[in-house]
Amino acid sequence: MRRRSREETKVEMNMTPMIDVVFQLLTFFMFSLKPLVNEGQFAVNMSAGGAAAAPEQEEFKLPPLTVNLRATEDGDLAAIYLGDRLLRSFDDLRIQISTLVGGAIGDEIEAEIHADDALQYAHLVSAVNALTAARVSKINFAPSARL
Amino acid sequence: MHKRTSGSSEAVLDMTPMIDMTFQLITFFMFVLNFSKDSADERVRLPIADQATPVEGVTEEPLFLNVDRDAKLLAIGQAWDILTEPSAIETYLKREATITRRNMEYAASSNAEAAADLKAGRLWNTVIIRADKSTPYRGIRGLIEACQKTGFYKFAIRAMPEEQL
Repeated sequence: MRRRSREETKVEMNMTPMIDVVFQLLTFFMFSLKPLVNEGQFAVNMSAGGAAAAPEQEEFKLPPLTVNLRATEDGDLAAIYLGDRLLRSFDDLRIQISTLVGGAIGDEIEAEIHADDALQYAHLVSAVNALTAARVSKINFAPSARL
Repeated sequence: MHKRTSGSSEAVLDMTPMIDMTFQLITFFMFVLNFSKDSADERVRLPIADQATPVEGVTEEPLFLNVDRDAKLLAIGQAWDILTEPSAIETYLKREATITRRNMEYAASSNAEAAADLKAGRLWNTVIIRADKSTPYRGIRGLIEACQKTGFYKFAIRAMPEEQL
């Protein structure tokens, strides 16, 4: 067997495959990256259909507030009513409800939203937003007013 | 100035800083990568609501219902019109409900709460509605009613707390 000289003992690692893989990984992670979007949510508790409703304790409760949202043919907001009262905006709705409920605790206040079929979802969420700002925590969506 | 000899003319590129930096970049992208957002469809333009509670942590047993601007429910690679294809949506919801019921039946043997919910027909899932801001209310209402009919009763509606650029 031939004996290696001192000059031949130098070992050089071939970096090319590793760099290839590393760049592939880098490319994968870069393309998989989605900009982080912080979403928010409103919890809406609704009873399941039929007799599956959750049992609730019998206690004093304020009557539910009724919010009516009327829509134009295009789905834009035409009018907001709190009961029979016509309101100017969702800010107005928030102020009116805050005044009505006073110091009541959020859990005691229920609201039901009646909206027209064509109404765009954004307006519905604006109504939920106004109700949440007025500390109404139980929000229900009633069947459409114009079926 | 020191003059190089002809023997030392071989240029050796030092790869260490480049590899260092590349590994740092990989580490960064690995940590930033968020797989949990996969259920959130980017085609849906959420409405804006400043009172929406920021979503933190992981929702247990979520059922995402993404509805796009054409009022189509986007699920498992398919799209059903929520206004004209209620039966297809009901079938999808029933399939999801069956999976949950099986999980609840499995848990009911050791968990009294699961047994009670199962008996009452209350499913564990939280239905997360991610609907486009232009979706008509009729579609959303129909979707909620279909969910209620199937036994879902916990709902959350998603919105953006602020305008995204």
